[in-house]
Amino acid sequence: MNDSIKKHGLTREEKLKIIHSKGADREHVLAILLELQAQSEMNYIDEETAGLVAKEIGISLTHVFDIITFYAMLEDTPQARNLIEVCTSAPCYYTKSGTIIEILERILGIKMGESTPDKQFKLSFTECVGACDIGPVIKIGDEIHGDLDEEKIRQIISNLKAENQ
Amino acid sequence: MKNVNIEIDGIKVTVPEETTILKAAESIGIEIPTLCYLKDLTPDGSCRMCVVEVKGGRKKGLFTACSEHCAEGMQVETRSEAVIDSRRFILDMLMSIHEKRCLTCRQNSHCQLQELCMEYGVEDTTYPGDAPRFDVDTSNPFFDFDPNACIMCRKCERVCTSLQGRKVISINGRGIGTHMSMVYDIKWSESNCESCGNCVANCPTGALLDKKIKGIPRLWDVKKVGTTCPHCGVGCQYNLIVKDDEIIGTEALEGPSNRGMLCVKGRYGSFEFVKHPDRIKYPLIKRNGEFQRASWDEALDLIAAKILQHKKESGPDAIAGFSCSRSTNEDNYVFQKMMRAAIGTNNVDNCARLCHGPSVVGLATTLGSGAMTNSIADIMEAPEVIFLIGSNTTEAHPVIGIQIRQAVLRGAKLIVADPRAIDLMDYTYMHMQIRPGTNVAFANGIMNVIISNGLEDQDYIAGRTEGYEELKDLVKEYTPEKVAQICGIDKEMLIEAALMYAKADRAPIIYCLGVTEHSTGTEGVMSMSNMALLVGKLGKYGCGVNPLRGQNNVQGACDMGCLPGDFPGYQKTSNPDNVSKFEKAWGCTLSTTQGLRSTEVFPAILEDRIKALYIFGEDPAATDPDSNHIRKALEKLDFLVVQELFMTETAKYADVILPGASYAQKEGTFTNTERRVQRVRKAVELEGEMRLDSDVFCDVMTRIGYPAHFDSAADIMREVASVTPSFAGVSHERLDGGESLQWPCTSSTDKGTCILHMDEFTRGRGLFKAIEFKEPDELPDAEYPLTMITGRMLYHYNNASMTGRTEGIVQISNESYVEINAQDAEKMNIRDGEKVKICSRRGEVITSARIGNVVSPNEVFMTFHFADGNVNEITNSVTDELSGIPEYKVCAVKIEKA
Amino acid sequence: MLKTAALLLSGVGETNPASVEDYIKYGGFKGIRRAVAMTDREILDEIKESALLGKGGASYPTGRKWEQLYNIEGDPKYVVCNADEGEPGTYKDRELIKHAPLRIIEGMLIAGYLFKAKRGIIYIRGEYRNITDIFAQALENAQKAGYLGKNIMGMEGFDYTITIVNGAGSYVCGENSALLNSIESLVSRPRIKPPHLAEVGLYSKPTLVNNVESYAGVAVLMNIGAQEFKSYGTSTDGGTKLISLSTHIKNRKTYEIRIGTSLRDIVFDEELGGGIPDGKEFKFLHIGGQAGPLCFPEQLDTRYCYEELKDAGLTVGSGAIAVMDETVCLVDYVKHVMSFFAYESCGKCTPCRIGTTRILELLTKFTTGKAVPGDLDRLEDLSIHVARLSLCGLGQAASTAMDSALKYRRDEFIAHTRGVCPAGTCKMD
Ligand SMILES: Cc1cc2nc3c(=O)[nH]c(=O)nc-3n(C[C@H](O)[C@H](O)[C@H](O)COP(=O)(O)O)c2cc1C
Ligand code: SF4
Ligand code: FES
Repeated sequence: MNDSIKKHGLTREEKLKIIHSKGADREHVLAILLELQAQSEMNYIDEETAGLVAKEIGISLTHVFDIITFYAMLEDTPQARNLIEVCTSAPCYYTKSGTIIEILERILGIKMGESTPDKQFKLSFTECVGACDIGPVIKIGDEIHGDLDEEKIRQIISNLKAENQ
Repeated sequence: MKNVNIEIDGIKVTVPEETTILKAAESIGIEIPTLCYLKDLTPDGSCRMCVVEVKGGRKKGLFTACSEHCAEGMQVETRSEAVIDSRRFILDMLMSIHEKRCLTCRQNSHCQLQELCMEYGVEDTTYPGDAPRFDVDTSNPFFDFDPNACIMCRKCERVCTSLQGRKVISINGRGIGTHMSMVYDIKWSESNCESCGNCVANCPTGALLDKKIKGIPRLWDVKKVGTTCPHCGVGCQYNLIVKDDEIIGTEALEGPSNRGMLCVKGRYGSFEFVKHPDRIKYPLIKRNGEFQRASWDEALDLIAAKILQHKKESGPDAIAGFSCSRSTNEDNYVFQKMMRAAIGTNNVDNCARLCHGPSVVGLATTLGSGAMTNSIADIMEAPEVIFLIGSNTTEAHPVIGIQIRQAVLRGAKLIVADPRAIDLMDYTYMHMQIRPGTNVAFANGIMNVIISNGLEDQDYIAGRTEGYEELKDLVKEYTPEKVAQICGIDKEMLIEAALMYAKADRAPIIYCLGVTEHSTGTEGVMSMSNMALLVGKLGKYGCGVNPLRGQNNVQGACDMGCLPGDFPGYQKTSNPDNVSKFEKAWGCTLSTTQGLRSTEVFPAILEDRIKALYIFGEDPAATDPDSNHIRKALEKLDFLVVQELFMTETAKYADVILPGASYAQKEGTFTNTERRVQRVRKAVELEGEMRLDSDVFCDVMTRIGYPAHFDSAADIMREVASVTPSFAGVSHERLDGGESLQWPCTSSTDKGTCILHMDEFTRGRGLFKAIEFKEPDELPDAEYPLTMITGRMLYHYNNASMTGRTEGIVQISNESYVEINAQDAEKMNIRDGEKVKICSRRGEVITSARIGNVVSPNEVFMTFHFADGNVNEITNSVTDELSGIPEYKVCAVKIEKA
Repeated sequence: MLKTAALLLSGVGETNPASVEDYIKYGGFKGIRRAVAMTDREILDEIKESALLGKGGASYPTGRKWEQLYNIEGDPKYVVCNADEGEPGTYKDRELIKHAPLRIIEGMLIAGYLFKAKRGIIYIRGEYRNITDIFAQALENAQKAGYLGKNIMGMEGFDYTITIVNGAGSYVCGENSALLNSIESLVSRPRIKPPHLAEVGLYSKPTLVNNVESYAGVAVLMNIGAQEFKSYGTSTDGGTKLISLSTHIKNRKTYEIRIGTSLRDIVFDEELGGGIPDGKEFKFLHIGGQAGPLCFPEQLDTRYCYEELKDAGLTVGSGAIAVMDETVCLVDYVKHVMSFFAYESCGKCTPCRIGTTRILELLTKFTTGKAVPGDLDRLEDLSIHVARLSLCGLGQAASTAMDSALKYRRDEFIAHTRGVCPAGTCKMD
């Protein structure tokens, strides 16, 4: 359903299509926003998109903004083309998500919370994503990668780079 | 509902099941502290300040009193050790995020947090730690927002969302970082906040704080004066807050029509003008084309002499008077008495002529009484369908607009028939964007659908009405197809609307100037009552035909007899019994000649039939259509008296200007749109040589040979009651005693009338009027291809002489504009904000363009508040024959780039 | 004695999870077929008899919950399935969604039938967007096979549909009133009660909220009968339980255990957890999710069932069992737990919004060598007040783990106030 190939910004028509494919009603506001964000270039919901969602599903823009700022998976400011989220809930943390963070920071040359200068990658935290059987895990978009080591991480990143080309 | 017995702090109390502990405690005078509690909304239970201990309860016995229901046998302690300890903890936590600078905070001494901390002995937090910090936002003209003082009770947001129906304030984020902000962190002034200030009024700390309070750190040496807002016809109740004879703010009261809410005009725009330096403070006489200061004696002598001269030379009917529908009932009563008893003419009118004359005439014809049939409270309590026609309620009657939004949030379906995509659009179930001036056809179409679906109320029609057969024959022609075409709307919508309206149990028709300000205005009004009669929705709770009266006291000015054909209380001057009754009461002979309507006065001046005019608080040069022709008439007058607060367009033409007294400087009453008579009270002293308006009228009367005097406004009301059956039970004493009275109120024991026509119509039977649709007078053509509509906007009132003197309001809105549809703008190559020239057959104005989709293509809209680009230079002065109202709502114009 | 079973997870691995035919091969839709042949009373009695306890965390008897809703008047009633699964260390609902979606659907269908509901809604956490499709597919297939939609199983007027609603990253959303707010597109902050959801729930109508595993349990028990179902567990906690093992344990997996299996077996039995890897010592386990208490070696012989866990001060909770070895510092661990709650606090009520952060700050003093002896009392004071005064379960349970640590291993905290981290992981400079 959610194709992971990112375009450089969606057109209004494309956004409308997404909104309507997800039901265009209030109950699906989160599914709509998640999908719009997943397909946005910088992994966030800008004001215009939020306004469109508000209008189509019949709630106020401020209400949409409340939602975006409340839920951890939604962002109201530009992130990066690939948002790499490291799970730091206890089961992952104590299976050494710290090491994963070190590796990621080293490979990408940025600290947690930062983006690469080319805005290709951003590193951030997440709480448990329900994949504690394969921790430590990272989440990139809807994809969850587990049982990580340095080699696996390098592979993931180079795949993403290739995809971004 | 069952009752339960509980004990609170050892006191036994019996309350209905589901009563909260908080309310039960309140009922026996035990106060429980709250921070997030809002009495009109379901409890939020978030601040946790109201914890009480319930003996043997779950959760260690601690419950929030605002939400927990009383249960049989419950033993509650509101000040046990555990309770006090808990409240201290809550305050401790709050103090750890609240930025403490009490000594410099303007809220100091009336901050609820501060008060509670003092009460519970919490000086500072014992758990200092991180607290979110943000910039202070001072961009709103009326108040500042300091998030660092915010304790997240979220009352502001809940008031804004659930009561005001706006949702401007966002609750941003979560956890300790949760804070209020504007959407996408824009500045307050850039948001769609309309500055009603209801959030500010509810803030327990200094997070949202009126700018006016700046520099007045202590609020205990102020006086509060309960009065009625001087703006629109809603009649909101509030306190004026007075310090050293200056009004520094307002405070909403739980009035029957406003229930604790106010709009921006009421909260912030209703007092700065009172002591504004522009006020006229002493009489002025024009000598050699210049106004010169004069003494009262000089001015009054001149007025008396001129009146007597014209009366002698041309008879009393050469003199006319316009009374002020912004002033009190008492002033209006004395004014018309001056015209009738002292001068001897029925030439007295008020600006209802320009707004709801058709309602007065139309509903009097069909029902017998020309006023809102129901009360705001009863139509807003639980309507199923609200049928809103030609009313931009949230801007023209904001606090009723709020209640419509609340009703919709509670499940009512709002059907709107209006040419513009009005501000309520987000709340509508259905919007029919009808072509201006097609209300009669629209109503006929609705009735056609109702009858063809067999939904008319046959018993009601047979038992309580007349004229049905004729109506039925006529509306047969108005098929949905035909009407949809005339009105430019969707046929299916028309059908659905008709079915919804007919089937709903509680469905008020609410209308405003979109129905009345037409050359067929009276017929439009009668069409409204036709619809309601057809489905038996008159004289019934939650229904009725409800005109929203424009100015604060336009209802009252009419009630008091400032109408050419009516003595007070709509007692017709054409009825000899009435004439002799008033002759006896007033001790004089009265004219039996029908008086002139205000719109007839100007042509009469030009025809030399009127020589002298006394204008009390009206500004026809700005507010009447076709200003050019008004100016000519004013120039031609031999003698013009204007009694006013400010130098208006009209006052410039006066021979004598007398200073008027503002609503905050006198006692009296206003009657709001729902016939409710409410008190106006003096808050500050008159300045300079200002005098009470009614005293001035008495002096004029005395000087022209009809000695008159009243001791007080209450005294005037006593006389009104004695001559007006529908006001017989109204008195200041009753109102001051806490009663709220809606006329008819016929005796001192009568509680007044919430709903008219309950058992019988005032005229006996409800009258159907079969009415053919007629096009507006001036339709667009090749030369003037656009239809122009005029109307009001939220921030200003009338000619803006009052609101325009409030700095903050001027900051928000200060200029005229014209709304143009985006398609038209593109065709004409006009950009948003660009200056344009609008021309009609009568004149032209320059204003700036606002481009969007509020109006349909080929239509444009302008407000009438602004002296720059005054739209009345171009409006059409053609009037409705039956009521004399001008067709403000439709004229043909063209637009050019300026 | 057998420790595991395959009721909820029967057929997993051998079937196409979204296939109705496959599901029927494993007894699928027998539960609803039995239900429609019974009276309402019989259905309620059957569920009550099974001793099925809710699997969302509070272990509230499902039969009782259903009966209460049944006795409430109101139309429509809504059936809501809580698949928010936000407790760290829990991934058992995920297994059901992925491998046995039709069992959840059947359970929700039985509820729909009993309550004459027209709509069921399953709220799936946003992090599970990648498995939502499987569930959607199962719904579509069930509809095609006549188990959803109009006139279900040919029965006139038996109309019922199930909608999927996605979350977007909020733990508190799993709290049932917050969940309903979220479905209604409101921000998922909990509601104050009363009114209770059974009376004023979704869109202010009477509403049933159960966990994924609870619905699946209903489908199973209606299929095999209450007596047999109950026999897999104890007389007060019937059937099986899905548990998610994580962290320092050999077999990190979801197991379906027979209720009554001992904690020691769960951790050390080769068939189950398989013990601690890398030859490390067991230190404690965190049971029931972050909101649960810690369990120390001396408590390991407790049997995993509602009553016995409760008596030992433990809890079933969400079914999470996170096992920690000797390398983990207890204070650091509870600090970590607290940072989760501070992050997930919805920000509505004062004690939780501010208090969880204050506790976290205080614990940070311990792990950085800045704590002084009095801080232990302050910690307890904070914990008591936050737990007592918070509006919802999140704040009320935020310090459960810390409280058990303080109760059983106070020494480790005291050592930190002296600048010593016994596990040697805190930097105490
Ligand atoms: C903070 C908080 C989070 C919760 N998260 C979940 C959850 O993710 N899944 C769940 O099924 N129940 C969760 N619950 C429990 C639910 O509120 C509710 O008790 C449960 O869904 C009822 O289902 P059951 O009776 O089948 O157990 C949570 C409760 C709280 C207080
Ligand atoms: S306890 Fe926490 S999560 Fe629950 S309502 Fe209060 S702030 Fe929100
Ligand atoms: S703790 Fe990381 S996936 Fe659960």
